[in-house]
Amino acid sequence: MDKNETFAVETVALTKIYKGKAAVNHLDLKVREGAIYGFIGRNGAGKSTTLKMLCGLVKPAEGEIRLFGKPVQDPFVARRIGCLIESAGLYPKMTARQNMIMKARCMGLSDEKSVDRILERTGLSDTGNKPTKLFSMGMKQRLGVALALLGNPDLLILDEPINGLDPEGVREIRQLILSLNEEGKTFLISSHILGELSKISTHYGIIKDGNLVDQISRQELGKNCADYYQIEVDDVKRSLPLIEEHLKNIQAEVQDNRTIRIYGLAEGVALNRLLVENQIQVYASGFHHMDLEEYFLARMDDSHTGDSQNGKKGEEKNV
Amino acid sequence: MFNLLRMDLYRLRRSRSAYICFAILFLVTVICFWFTWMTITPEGDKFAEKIGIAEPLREDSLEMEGYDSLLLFREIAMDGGAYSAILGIWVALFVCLDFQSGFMKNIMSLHRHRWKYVISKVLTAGILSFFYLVLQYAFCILLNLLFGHLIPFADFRDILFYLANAWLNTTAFSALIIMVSFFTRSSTAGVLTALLFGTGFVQALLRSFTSLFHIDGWQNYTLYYNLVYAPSSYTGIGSLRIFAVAFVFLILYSGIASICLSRQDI
Repeated sequence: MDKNETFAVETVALTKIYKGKAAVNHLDLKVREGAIYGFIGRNGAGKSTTLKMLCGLVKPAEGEIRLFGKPVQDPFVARRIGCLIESAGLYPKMTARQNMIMKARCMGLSDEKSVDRILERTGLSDTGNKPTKLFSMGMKQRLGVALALLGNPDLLILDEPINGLDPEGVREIRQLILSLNEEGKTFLISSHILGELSKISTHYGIIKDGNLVDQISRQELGKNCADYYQIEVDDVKRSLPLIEEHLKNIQAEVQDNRTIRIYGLAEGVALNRLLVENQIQVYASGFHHMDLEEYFLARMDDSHTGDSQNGKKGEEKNV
Repeated sequence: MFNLLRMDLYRLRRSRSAYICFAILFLVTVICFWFTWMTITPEGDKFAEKIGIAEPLREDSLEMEGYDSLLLFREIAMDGGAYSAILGIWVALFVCLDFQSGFMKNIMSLHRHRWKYVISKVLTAGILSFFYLVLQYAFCILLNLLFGHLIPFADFRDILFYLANAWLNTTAFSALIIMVSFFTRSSTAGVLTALLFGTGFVQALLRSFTSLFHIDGWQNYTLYYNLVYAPSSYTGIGSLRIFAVAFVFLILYSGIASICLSRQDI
């Protein structure tokens, strides 16, 4: 990591304590400018609290937040952020446009054309005089994204932005995020829909019980989730030397007392035959590829067993 | 702060509850004038006799001698605390909707100095109160003309003096409701406070207790007392005390509300 690199978001030992318990515990988050950072964690892991602290809604107990190299208290920094935290905050009796104008006035924007442009871009331009209390969940979320986009922010902090959206809405938001990212905007997105997150994110952060257990780029994730051949045998101690002897330039890893994982193998029939010929019983075998969800679950499991450094060890249990 | 005020005024213009409160104040004024008409005019007396309420009204007619438009306005709006209670209810609903709708997140992510939000809300309440007072007084004058000049008009300087006092006091009262709304984030708590404090119920309760110990002089320094028992005209520097009391309360409640909000998580 380049020491001179500027980060859109940088936290140092960020901590929030509720009733004596750390909801966020010494979090060191780094989001590069121009990245789409997927923030992953179970319910209650501290995602929303972290995002709220970044948006200035929650005061940290200790630690530091820097946005674009400046302290979060800087009023000019606040202008560079667009937020959608939990649900979209909307006045129920107002229309989509009126809610947008409210926020535009709050920001000191006088150009109402930008309101119409964003409504158009988020597919809400035809909602007319319909009050937002009659909006579907998906429409409310889209309006929440539209509100976050007001003022052309450089950083968008979106907490569960695709909650309640239908598949078409999910695709529209995905395309919107990607096109805005191409324009240079940075995204920090938390979502439970990991499959969707994996389609857009360039970086990932995994949080568990307030602790950041992993921060990884898409490339690193791809490497960690590479294809492997997994084989379950009755005698691992005899199998491993056989495999290493017959398969050169291949990395084999023992997962537990009956499972071996082999990376870089093209096909597995010959290996199975070799083991059987050597009187080793093969219970199961096959190729695997971890996706983000499996990786996430594995990291959760790792941190649970106390091995937060080695991601490989716990993968087997979840594959 | 002015951006927040622009936002609040935009919402105020679209606030149905603000118009409903206004309509209630107008309705109360109409009813009071109708009763005044039945009390002090021979035609009204005949009508009151027809509907069977002439006797109690005849007893009241003696009390109404010497009334002018300002005194009647005070009786209608301020004496029972109706005005304060109605304004307070509106303020509680207006402020709490920010929390309940979640729009507060949009606001607070942009404005890190939370006292600006408090000042904006107090100013919005002050602006609404200004329009309520002026329009209700103007409505009183209009009704007085329509009912055939029932009572004489008050001196213009007295009207200005009293309305300025009422405006400052009701704005300070709005700051109290804003403070309670921030503490509780509950419109029910805000509405209850508006009713209990606006109508003087809490003051009456405390007075009945403290008078047992002959220490009820404190009530001269309350917003309710300022509104109900304040002089109608400027009689010297001493009559400015009511303004000083209202100003101190306005600063005090706004300050506590700012501290409360700045310590809270949204």
